[in-house]
Amino acid sequence: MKPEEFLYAESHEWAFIEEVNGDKIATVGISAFAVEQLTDLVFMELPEIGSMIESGSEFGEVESVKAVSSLYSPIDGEVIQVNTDLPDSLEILNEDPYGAGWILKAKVTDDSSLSKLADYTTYQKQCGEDG
Amino acid sequence: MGSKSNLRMDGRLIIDRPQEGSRNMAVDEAIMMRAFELNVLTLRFYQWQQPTLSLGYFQNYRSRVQHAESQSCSVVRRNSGGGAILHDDELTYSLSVPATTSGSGTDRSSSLYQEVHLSLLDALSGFGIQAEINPTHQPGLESEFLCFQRRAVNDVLLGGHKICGSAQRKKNQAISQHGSLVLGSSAAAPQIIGTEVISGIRLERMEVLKGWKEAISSRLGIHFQEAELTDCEEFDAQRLQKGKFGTVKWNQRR
Repeated sequence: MKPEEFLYAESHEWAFIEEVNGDKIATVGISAFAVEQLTDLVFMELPEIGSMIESGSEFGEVESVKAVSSLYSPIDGEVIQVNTDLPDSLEILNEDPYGAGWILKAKVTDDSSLSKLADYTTYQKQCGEDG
Repeated sequence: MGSKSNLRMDGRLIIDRPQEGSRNMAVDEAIMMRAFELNVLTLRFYQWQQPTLSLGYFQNYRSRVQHAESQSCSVVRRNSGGGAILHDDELTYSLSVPATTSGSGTDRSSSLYQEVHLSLLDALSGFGIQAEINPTHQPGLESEFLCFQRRAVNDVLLGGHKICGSAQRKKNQAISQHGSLVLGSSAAAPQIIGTEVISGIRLERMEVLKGWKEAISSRLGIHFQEAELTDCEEFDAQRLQKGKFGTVKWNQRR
């Protein structure tokens, strides 16, 4: 997986879309820019497998420097896997936010949710404006 | 002193009478939830009806057993991070600000800690109390149960003791920051001695409140007008108190 191949939400989450047995499967994480901005993550709460997530809605939470922030889903889908190693090893997000730092995998239930996402180049431009 | 970040906004000032912990947390969330929509900055000062233990959002409810003195106190889980606070002889504030951007990344959150705490230093110096900002995180204290036994960057220290700390929740394109200034010690948390014992000066709550508000106004460039919750905020606050902060499900969720 390369970050150049990902789609990005304005709220700094990424999605990598693959076709698996006819289903669209999204791997979801947060961008290196978001990890850098959040700084010193200490806690993370993940969604439950089987839960439905909705584009733009909260799917998890993180705490850094006494600030609790929401994580927003970039897609509509059903959670089929979560990275259970992550909450106990949040340094992975700093080391490899686009690989080992993935947060969840979800079966996309509405393709139209993908059309709201930006490509890598557009997202990088947004980070330049936000930073 | 740090650089001033002038927000050039009008703001609301809400001063609440002492209330239950669940109500206090519900009001902070109700204000945050509409801060972006209303594009309004709200500074709120409040107090607690009885000594109340608030837990940081990610703290385990069972961890309160390690703090014997507060066992009989009521408890409420905050939306914000950090350690537990025993709210008793203190002045509590919240500042809700519409975020410049949404989501997991950017905003002015870290400067808000600094600006509000620098404002407190300004206010305290008016009473002859010279507090300071903690310049560095002190490792090894993160696992302390009480927030006031931890030392984070930008905490307010007096004579080496922490007298004010703050925490944040970011949601709905807004930041809600709240924090406590410990005025006097509490029998339910005798480890935390507070401003009066350290300085020998008894601060009157309303006087500190006025000085702090004026310092925030000056430092952030905000003109405050005293206000009350809107009807919608009041509705939300009552719903959140009953359905969230006043429930065992929320307060013992982990």
